[in-house]
Amino acid sequence: MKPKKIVSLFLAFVCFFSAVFPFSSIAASSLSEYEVKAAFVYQFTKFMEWPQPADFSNQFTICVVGEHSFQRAFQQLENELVKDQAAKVKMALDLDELDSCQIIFISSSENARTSQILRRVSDKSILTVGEMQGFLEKGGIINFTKEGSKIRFGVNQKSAERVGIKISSKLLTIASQVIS
Amino acid sequence: MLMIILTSAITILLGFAAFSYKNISVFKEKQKNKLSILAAILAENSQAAVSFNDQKTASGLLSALRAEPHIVAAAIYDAGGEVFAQYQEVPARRPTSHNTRAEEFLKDHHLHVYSPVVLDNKIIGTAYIKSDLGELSELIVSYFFFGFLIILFCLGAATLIAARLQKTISNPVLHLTQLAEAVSKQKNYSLRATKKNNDELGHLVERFNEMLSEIQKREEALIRSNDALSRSNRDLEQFAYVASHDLQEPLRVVVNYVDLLSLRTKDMTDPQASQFMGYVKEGAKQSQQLIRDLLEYSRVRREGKLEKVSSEIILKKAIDHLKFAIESSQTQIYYDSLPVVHADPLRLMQLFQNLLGNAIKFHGSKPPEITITAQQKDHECLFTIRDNGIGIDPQYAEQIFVIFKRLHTKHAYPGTGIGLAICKRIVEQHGGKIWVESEVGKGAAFRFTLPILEYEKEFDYARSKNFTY
Repeated sequence: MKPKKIVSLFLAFVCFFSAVFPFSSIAASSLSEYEVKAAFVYQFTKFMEWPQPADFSNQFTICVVGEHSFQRAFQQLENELVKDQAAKVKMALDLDELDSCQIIFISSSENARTSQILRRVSDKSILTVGEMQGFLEKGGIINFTKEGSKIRFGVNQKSAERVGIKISSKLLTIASQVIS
Repeated sequence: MLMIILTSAITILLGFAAFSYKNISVFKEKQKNKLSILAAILAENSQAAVSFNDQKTASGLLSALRAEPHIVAAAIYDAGGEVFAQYQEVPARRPTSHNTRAEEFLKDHHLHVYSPVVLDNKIIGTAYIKSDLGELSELIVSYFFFGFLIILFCLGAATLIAARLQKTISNPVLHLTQLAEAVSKQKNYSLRATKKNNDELGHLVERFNEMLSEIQKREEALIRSNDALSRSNRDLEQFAYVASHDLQEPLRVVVNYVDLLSLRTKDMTDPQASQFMGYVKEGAKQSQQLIRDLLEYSRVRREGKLEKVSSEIILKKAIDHLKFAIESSQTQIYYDSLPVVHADPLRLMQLFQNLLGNAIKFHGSKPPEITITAQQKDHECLFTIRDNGIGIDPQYAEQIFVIFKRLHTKHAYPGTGIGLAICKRIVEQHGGKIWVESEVGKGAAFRFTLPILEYEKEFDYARSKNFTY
């Protein structure tokens, strides 16, 4: 098969799965869960270092891609100090808007677009955070998982190193999975 | 020696105590520091665990403290002060005072250390470690034990050194001291100290012995000169005695034959001849008297014997001898009770007799009044014989005691001028002094001292020194 065909098939497959998968259970506790995840994302920044590009703007942008249901959770991070800067939260939809982000959170609803997004930002120093299976293998840096009611996360250190992001070993110590 | 050991023991003890105290203090500080560092490291390492609410990891970190057996408990408190993870028993809530800075303190025989967990300048929790004082106790016990051993050892060494010192220093000094005492006591200058070493003490011993030799030599020289002197004195005495004795004979011849001559020439009418014979007789008689006095004087030099005598009884005897002179001059004699003294009874009587005789002889216009008193002072008895006679000019006060010295012509008052010289000799033989206090026309007070000897030793000593003239 041609690569383009595989991708579209895969996307369809992902869409089907995301449609079939029970969102309801996630949706029911989604606020508290996403509040935790938003908090975690905020904490992640304290254990990471971004490289200093020449055009580092005076803003730290956290971009959220996906369903708006957890918008409020991430909105709480607005104006919080990250790396001595006020954080801005953007709900991005277009791929073009992703270039100016420092963090991109890809919600599980974007299963179909994940690889595309990751490919798009693969050469930029952006912390990509996901919450779907295989996210790390696709090149994402941090992926949320659930162990029972506890939220855990895995880290792909290789992907981070590739784009120049340094992750503290303290974070790696408590990660449930590390790909190095 | 006991002094040395005691001093050593005390100094060692003090030194060790100070040393131990300092060391224990330093150790305590180190313990606190160690624990503080551990707590700080724990806090640092638990940043992520606390941030991400990972109790499993936090507990894991705490259990690593198991490696230190003296750590009895540990915990990580969250930002609200509740226990987040713990190792063994800890307070459920963090004490509020320990949230902003690191703290360490001792309480209930345990060391407690708090260290804040800081992330991005924000305090997100507190690490806490509790340790027992086992190591400190072990250290203190070991110090005591070790210290005890050291002190024992040092005391032993001190004892040995002291014994050695005793031998080289103390003993020689003691030996010298004892020798000096013996020499003083026995007055034996032939004793010598034994030299043991060639060090400073040895030199001291040498000098000491030299000194003793010098003293001994002088002593011997003194004895020799004393002997020579007494020999020559005896010779002189002998000479004086013999001479005066032999001189008397020719004089007696002169007197006798002048008497006979005067008898024969009684009927002659040459008045000048009788006068001349009178002069001759007087001259001869005077010479006789002089010679007799000389004899008397020389006799006084012979050895006398000291006895305990009542001076009052002796005085009474002397007064008795002068009975005739006293009555004929209507002399009044007054005296107190007089003490018992050490003296030669004969010589004492002679002394009284001479002095009383003088008092009677040198009377003024009124009848003589003589008062005799005595007062005791220390080891002496001071006698005073006061009269109301013609008195003596103070400028002659010393001269009158010189032999044959007279202040008046023999026509005014009889006598050869030997009486006071004899008195002086007697008094000085007894170890006393004689002098006069007087003014012309105001009578005279003759005073002399006789020693009262308390102890046998001084008695013998005085005897040996004063009577071998």
